[in-house]
Amino acid sequence: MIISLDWIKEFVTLPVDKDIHDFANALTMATAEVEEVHEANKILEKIIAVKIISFKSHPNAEKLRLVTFSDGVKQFEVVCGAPNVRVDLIVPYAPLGVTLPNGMKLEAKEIRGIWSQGMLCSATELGLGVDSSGLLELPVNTLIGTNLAQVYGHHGAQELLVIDNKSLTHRPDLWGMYGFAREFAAIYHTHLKPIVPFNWAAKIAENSNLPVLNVRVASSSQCTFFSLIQLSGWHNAPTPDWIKSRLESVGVRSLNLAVDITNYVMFELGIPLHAYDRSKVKGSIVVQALEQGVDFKTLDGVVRTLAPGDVLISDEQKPLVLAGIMGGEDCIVTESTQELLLEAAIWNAQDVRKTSTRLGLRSESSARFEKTLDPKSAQIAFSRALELFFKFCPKLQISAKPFLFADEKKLPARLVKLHLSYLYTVLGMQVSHEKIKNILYSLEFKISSELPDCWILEVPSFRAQKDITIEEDIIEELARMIGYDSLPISSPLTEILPLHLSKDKSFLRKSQDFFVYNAQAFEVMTYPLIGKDLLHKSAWVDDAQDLVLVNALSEEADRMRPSLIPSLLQTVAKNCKNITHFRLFEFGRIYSSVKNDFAKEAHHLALAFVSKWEHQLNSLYSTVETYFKFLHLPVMFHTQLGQKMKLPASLVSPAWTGLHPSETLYLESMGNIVGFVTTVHPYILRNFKLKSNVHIAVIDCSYLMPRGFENKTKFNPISLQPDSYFDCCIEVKKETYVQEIIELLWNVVQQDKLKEITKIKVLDDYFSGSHQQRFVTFRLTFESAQETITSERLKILENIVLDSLGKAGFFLRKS
Amino acid sequence: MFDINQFHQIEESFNAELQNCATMAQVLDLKSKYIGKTGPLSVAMKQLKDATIEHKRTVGPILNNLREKIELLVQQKINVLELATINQSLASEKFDWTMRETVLEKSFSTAGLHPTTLIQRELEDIFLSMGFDVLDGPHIEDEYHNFEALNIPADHPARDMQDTFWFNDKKHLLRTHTSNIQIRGMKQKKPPFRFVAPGKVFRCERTDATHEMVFHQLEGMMVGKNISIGHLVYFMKTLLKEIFKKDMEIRLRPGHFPFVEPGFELDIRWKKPNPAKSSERYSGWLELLPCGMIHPKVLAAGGIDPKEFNGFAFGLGLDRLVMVKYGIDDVRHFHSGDLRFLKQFASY
Repeated sequence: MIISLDWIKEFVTLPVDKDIHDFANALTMATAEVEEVHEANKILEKIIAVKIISFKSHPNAEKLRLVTFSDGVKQFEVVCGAPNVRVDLIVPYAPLGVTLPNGMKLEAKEIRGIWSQGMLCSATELGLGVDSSGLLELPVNTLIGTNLAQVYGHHGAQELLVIDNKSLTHRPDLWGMYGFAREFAAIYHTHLKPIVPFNWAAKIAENSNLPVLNVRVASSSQCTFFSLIQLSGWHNAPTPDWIKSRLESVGVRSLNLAVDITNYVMFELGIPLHAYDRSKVKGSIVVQALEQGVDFKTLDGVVRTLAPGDVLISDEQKPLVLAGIMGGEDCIVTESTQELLLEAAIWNAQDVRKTSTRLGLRSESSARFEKTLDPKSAQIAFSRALELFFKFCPKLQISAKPFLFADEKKLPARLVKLHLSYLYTVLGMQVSHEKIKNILYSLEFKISSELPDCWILEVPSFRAQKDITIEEDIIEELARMIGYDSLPISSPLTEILPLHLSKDKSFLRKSQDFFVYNAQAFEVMTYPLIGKDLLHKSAWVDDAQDLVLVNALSEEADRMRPSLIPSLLQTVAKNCKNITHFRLFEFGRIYSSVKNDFAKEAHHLALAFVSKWEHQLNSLYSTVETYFKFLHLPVMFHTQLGQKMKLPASLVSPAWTGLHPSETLYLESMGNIVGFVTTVHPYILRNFKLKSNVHIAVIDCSYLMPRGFENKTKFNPISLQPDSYFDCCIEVKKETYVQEIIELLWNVVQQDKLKEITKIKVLDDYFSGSHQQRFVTFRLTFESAQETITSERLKILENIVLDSLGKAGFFLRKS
Repeated sequence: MFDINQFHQIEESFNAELQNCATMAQVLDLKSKYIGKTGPLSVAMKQLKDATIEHKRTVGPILNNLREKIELLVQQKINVLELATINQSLASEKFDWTMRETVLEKSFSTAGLHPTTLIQRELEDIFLSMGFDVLDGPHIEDEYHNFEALNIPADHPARDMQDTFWFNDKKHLLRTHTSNIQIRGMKQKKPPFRFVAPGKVFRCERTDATHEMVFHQLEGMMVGKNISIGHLVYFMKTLLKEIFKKDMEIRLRPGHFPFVEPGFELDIRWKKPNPAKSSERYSGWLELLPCGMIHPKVLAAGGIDPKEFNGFAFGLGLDRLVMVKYGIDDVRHFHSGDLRFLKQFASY
């Protein structure tokens, strides 16, 4: 929305000690955001239209010419390099002393030995356009010697403010100059010139036999107000310059006087009007919602397909106007039109919005009707337009009985209560009654009753449609005019209670920290949205129940991710192009549709260890093991899933081929499979062109999060007796898991109640003879808190250990 | 029988010989020579057994002193020699202290959190310290919590401005703002309360340097009795001071959001980059925080009686804050997973 200050000043006197930037700031702070400020191009007043009389080549420069011209009184000579110089051309001349918009100050100077007095200008040099190819050629009828501000009228010389339309969505009254004039009057406590209704009834031809306009407004149209008047004796005349220039300043091209008047009133009062060529309208008029689709050629020449429900004004033969959006090409007013129909109406905002959105047809009219316009304002606009029609064409006559329809039921006065105590609470301070009243009156509210704490206000109709409905809306009106910056700032008085991060949040934070500080990994974020291609590339089984978007931006992000794995692999592949050795993790949500809920969101952790050189599965596995210790939660690792343990589909589909056949470990905690650690199957890696070792772990945090961080540590007295160790080196097969032997030994400890054995660890893992033999050294720690373990007892313990190892086929290394 | 001078001589000659000792063996030999079984002191001690009581009383302590002195000197000499030996061997060993994690290609000497996590935590901590609980909510939301209950009915133009990702049932969507937590939070809590809710939000919007289809917001709400606009401004000013470590110049101006009434835009004064000249910056206002007093319809939808309680709500774009703080030029880095971006925010 563009506001012309010149136009505004017709209704309100703006303070003389303030400039356009002050006005912009005042509006931004009290009403709506001003996005741009266009200062008046004052230079144009100093630029003079001159006529070229003669020119000749510059004696010292091939491309320059000496141009002689006249301002009607005197002759001047300048040096000029423009290619379009010719005799009788009327061009703009900047005399000495003028500073051009680009900052260049014109001083008498010598160009290649010749003194030049000022400069002939291009459009760019004057800030009038982008054409810098040559001198700006002024129209041949331009009066020589006049300044360009006169030549161009107000265009280019106007002070304009550009308002962000988004800040006007709730304010239909601000879609015309008058609404902004009212805001200025309220901001600066000045008088707003009222719009005096034009008494058009006096212009109705005195003829008792006036024809009747046959109009039917069907309820399906949802139209609440419709007025139509027939004007005869119209003849087109040139649109006055002031109307033309004001329309141009807000970006509207002048067409012909009748159309210009309706546009002018729309920009002045915010109400779109429509003028028809009467001769093109055949028979009676009907206003209704379409029952079946129809093609309609709008005045922009485009044929549009209308759908049932679209509201249309038609005559007996054809559609005339797409209600509230755009007129038809057939009945547009042209220069030869002699009889007019002028229409003002109020349309249903949702209908207009729906139709214009569907057709992709947004007009100045639809932008306004979408905001829900006020029937009373429509009447005022109607009379204002008639005033202008009669002003420019005094012979005009109202040649038929005007048609007026108003659904009075939909026009009740809106009353809203204001409790002063509540106002003071929200403002945080008291305000004098006088001040409150002044603001309300300046915004045209009426006070219909006044109890000590409760005032009943009548909302002006132009604010009463949707904008102001509740007490809080009134408080906003008062607060913004008092000034938000003048309200007192203070801390509320409130009870102090201890406060902690939730279990989920603490879990997340501690886990993130763990993976940064312990696993030395970087946290990444990937899109929760994913596409089919990436799922296929990751060999993820396509689930028909996928949560698919209906309006995705692209196929790469058209559904919710069922797992973190695909995007993790993609991220790994992306980084492998730059780095050979890295670790990363993501805490993110995965999404699945479930029976009773549309969607379920689960928090998952994905961790990747990637190295071109090293196999890091054990390092990843150790990290995950340590993570569970850090969580104070139990964990067991399984190479195979037993009968009882099921792999949850949310974790990974059992059919996923990315799991390595021998390098996969499943994590069990508290009776559930909560995750896995694996080396990604090389076959999948191939899809990503990955040649590195890629090990990933995925953990479903939904089991772990609610447990929080419960540290159940209890102190144990420190043994006063020294520990003793028993080291035994055992020959094992290459493919033996040490864990098997450790578990075997612990079983023995349990069965034989060898409570002195407190630790069983691997001391060394040794391959000899080019890896044909493997020797693992175990260290068993014996300790007893109560007494020294005798050497006899030690011997017994050692023998039990060796016996059971022997029974299982593990023998001491032969020395 | 006992010549005191003899003992002095023994001491002197021991000292002289000790001086000349250069090796541990020499010291030990010397020790056995003087205080060994056949050494002069042992001999004298033996003789003392048969001496008079008077002799025992006078000579005994002298002998003992001398013996202790010699033992002490021997130990000292040994210590000196040992230290010299260790130092000598240390001097011959050269340790390459420059071969550290940081120079190894195969090391992980750096790691860190995502910059959005960093800012999010900072904000959570600031709000927690001011008594705001930190809540979370679903990404996949229904129309009711994302729009209806927030006073954004189906035909409201505000729905056009928040380009929404819809699911095929046309009832569920990806939340377009963290405001979906307003209703959930209110239903979960009893006034008075205050909470914030950070998280991912989604807009059906083409991505470019300043637009993302997935980004982060932080929603905040306070409900109580007699809450004023000044209370809202107080928390916002305090927040900004905590973030920027200085008092920030702010302005509050009208802004229209259906779920607040009155609604505001809170701007901060900052040095804007000049689009024409990147090196230049000029003073301007940055739109940072849409906020306002909670609309009574929204309170009612949250199960709170608007006649008894009121409050304020605000929303904050986390990504924009991250971008301003670190000078990041392109929002698309955030979800890129590119370590070249993330490494710049390493925790160590």
